[in-house]
Amino acid sequence: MDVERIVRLAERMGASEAEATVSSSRYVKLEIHGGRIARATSGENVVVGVRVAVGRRVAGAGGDAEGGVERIVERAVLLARASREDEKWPGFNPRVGCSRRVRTVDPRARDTGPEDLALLLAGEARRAAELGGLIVEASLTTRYGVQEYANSYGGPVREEGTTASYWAEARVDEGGRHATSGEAYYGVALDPARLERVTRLSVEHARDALRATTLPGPVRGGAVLRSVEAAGLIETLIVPAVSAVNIQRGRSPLAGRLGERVLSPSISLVDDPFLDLEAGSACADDEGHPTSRKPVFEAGVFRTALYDHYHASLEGRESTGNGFRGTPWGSPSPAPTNLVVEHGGPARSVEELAGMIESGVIVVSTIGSWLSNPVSGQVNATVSLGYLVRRGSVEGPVKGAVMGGNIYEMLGDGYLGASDDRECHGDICTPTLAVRGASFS
Amino acid sequence: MPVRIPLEDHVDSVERAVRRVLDMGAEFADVRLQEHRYQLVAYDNDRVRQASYSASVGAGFRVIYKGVHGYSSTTSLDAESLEAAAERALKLARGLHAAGAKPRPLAEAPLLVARAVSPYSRDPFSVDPGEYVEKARLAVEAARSVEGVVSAVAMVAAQWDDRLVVNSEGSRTAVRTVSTGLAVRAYAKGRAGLESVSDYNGRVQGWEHIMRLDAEEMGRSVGALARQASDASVPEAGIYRVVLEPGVVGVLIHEALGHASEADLVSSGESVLQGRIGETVAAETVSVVDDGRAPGGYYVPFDDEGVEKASVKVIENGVLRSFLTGRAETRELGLPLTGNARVQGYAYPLLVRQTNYYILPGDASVEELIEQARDGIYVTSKGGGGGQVEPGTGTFTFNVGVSYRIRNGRLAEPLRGVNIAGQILETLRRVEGLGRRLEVRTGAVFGGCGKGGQLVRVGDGGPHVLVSEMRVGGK
Repeated sequence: MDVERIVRLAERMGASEAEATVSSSRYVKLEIHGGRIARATSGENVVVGVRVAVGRRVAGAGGDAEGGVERIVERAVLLARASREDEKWPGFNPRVGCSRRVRTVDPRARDTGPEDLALLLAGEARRAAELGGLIVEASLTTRYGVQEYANSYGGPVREEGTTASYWAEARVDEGGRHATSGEAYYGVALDPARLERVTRLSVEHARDALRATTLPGPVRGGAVLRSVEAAGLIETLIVPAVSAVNIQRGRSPLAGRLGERVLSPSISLVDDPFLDLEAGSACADDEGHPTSRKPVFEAGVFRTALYDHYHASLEGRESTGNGFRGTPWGSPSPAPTNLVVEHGGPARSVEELAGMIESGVIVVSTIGSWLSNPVSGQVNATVSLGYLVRRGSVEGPVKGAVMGGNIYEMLGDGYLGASDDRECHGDICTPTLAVRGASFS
Repeated sequence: MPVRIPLEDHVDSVERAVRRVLDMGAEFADVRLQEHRYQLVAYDNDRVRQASYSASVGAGFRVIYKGVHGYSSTTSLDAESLEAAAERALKLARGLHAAGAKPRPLAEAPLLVARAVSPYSRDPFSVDPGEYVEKARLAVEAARSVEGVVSAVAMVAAQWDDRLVVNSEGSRTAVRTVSTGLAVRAYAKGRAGLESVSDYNGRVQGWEHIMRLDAEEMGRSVGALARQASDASVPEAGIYRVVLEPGVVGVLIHEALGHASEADLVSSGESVLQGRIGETVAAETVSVVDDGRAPGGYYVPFDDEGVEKASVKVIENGVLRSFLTGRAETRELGLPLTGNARVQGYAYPLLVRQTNYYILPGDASVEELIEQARDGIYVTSKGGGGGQVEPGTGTFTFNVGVSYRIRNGRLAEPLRGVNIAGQILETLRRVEGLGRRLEVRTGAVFGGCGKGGQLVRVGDGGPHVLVSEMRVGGK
């Protein structure tokens, strides 16, 4: 499927300009159910996405290539003609190209067959049993894909990548009681060490959840946010706030605050597309614009929003190379590549961080942190496993507390320190963070 | 018999592919064919933000070899591609069997040859897309006309979902589901800062549903609520008596009880309901059903395993009576077959899923429940962000919409930033009253239920419910 031919086809069918994406992928997924591998799924597909402009009217269409590219293009042109004129339409991205390539393909994720994946997964089930747990549900998925992009002004740009994901829910039974806990890994590489860690932590956390009690009463103080939990809050609360769409439409608490100190001077957040084998790495965004490394917050100061081509043009500037889309036929929206938390202070152990908050909770896992409010920055999550901290000492495990606070207070004046265990969870890379300004009820 | 669905033209070739893998040693095979179309117009403040259309066609095989399940799919419906996909599924099942995978044989199911089409009178894909734009624009402009509203977005969407399930035992079911909907979100700035509120109105109906909707009224109402939220205060965190509005009841019962009643989670040891059939798990007034044809809900006459969807009473007068099942779970747990094996699309494996899950109504009026609460919070869903649950423990947390303090048995000041949390069985035991008006809703074309990486459309609901104690997060 030639992506440039699709662009030419759209132009012949009435588009003034067009862009096209062709994504080919294949995947294998294996699942554990009740401690044993229970099923395998494999598939492959080629998906086409086309966006067209007829004058200043824009629309997109897409689907499986087998459904017929002509029908897809025809529908896009029909929708565009019926749409309303956008007087601010700047045209599709005129600067198509690739910046710097880093490794985005892990040969093991690409080439390991279902039988070997089954052996790997069966090994994790055995590991959990040796640790005294049972993997009640788990899935291991590998995917390899190629995406090509072109528009009326340039291309094609080709990106190739793999992903590997492993999710495990472990159960521990003791004395007639049981508890479960889940852990996950999502990245580019099929790394047995990461799988082992997920299995081990899911069993250990299930065991601690079995001993966990509810909080003796409301706690106001601090939180030590384990890396994965800090990443979840940043994804839910900071990422939408730095999107140019939300800033321009008045939906971000950062609107009008460019150049202000918003976070602690000890923290920088850098959008970095050039990390080897990390999920957000890419040489071009989804509209073919070259990506770049830039600080979004530098020593706490809000330096730049993230832009796609359209929203950059509304401010008369160039895209930052952050135009990504949910589907190949959708409008791009600003999103980070890899958003990396960098901190200036010394790296500390979790125990040292607990000492810094004095009273509060070490937050190991939560449910519902994605329900936090990006419009106000208000944090909302229920702690499914944490450790109570009193007078700077770590006490027993706790669960069921609702965590509240505001992310800008926590990462602003409330920021205390960070660990040296920075990990990437999807496209957010952060160490464990200690903050003040959290409440637990 | 309703009109023939074009996917049925492929019955001969899929049956050949199924016979082929049986000849190669498989004990069972089934295939899900699907043709899916989706069209969306999003109007954002003063312009069309997105006008998009997507279409997909494909077939997904499940082949069972010595009890082990292998799945494979193809986007080509020619005979050769279908046979190749079926053979890949068999190869996967054989490979897993050799690796020691767990056999999951199927329970027997009644032979079923049937076709069903959801009622619709106007094909939403034959409508001029300009009508989508106009409806969304009206909603946005009405929302933005409310003082304090700084931004608004509206979406109009339609979905066409044809499904055909054929199995090696001779069952063949075809279902067409046509749905439409309008959703609005408004952002307002008030004394308390910036807040947003959203609402949707989805139906399993054609374009006639969108034509009947008063988009301007919906936009104004969402805008006014956003303005109210932006002026509201956050409640003190604590334990309250609460009256839950049907939208909150639906999400709560679906997430916190519904998932725990899915038999695949029960059999894997992830459900708080495991081993509790026959036990009292809720107040005596509480009865809960899952029904694929509930009015106002999503349309699931047959599941994706070709089994007729039964109306299931999960809880009857407080007693746990049944779990939701597919054929594998029915066999494994010795339970009745309820027709709840579903997939997001042809390429996905079967999971046990809810259809329309709701609490049956009681006999109180809303005013009586609020009066009975005396001092507490009236919790509503508009603007809520959804929720999350651990089915293994029944722990839940939900972000709900603009709510209201109840003082002296009457509604008082509005509240924002409200979230509720608890343990579902404790919550159901604390139900003190049920409203008489039942409301079941579905997003139809927006959102749905996520599980195992799959999103399926569902409905949920109930009456207003008074709960004597619930943890409310806030300040």
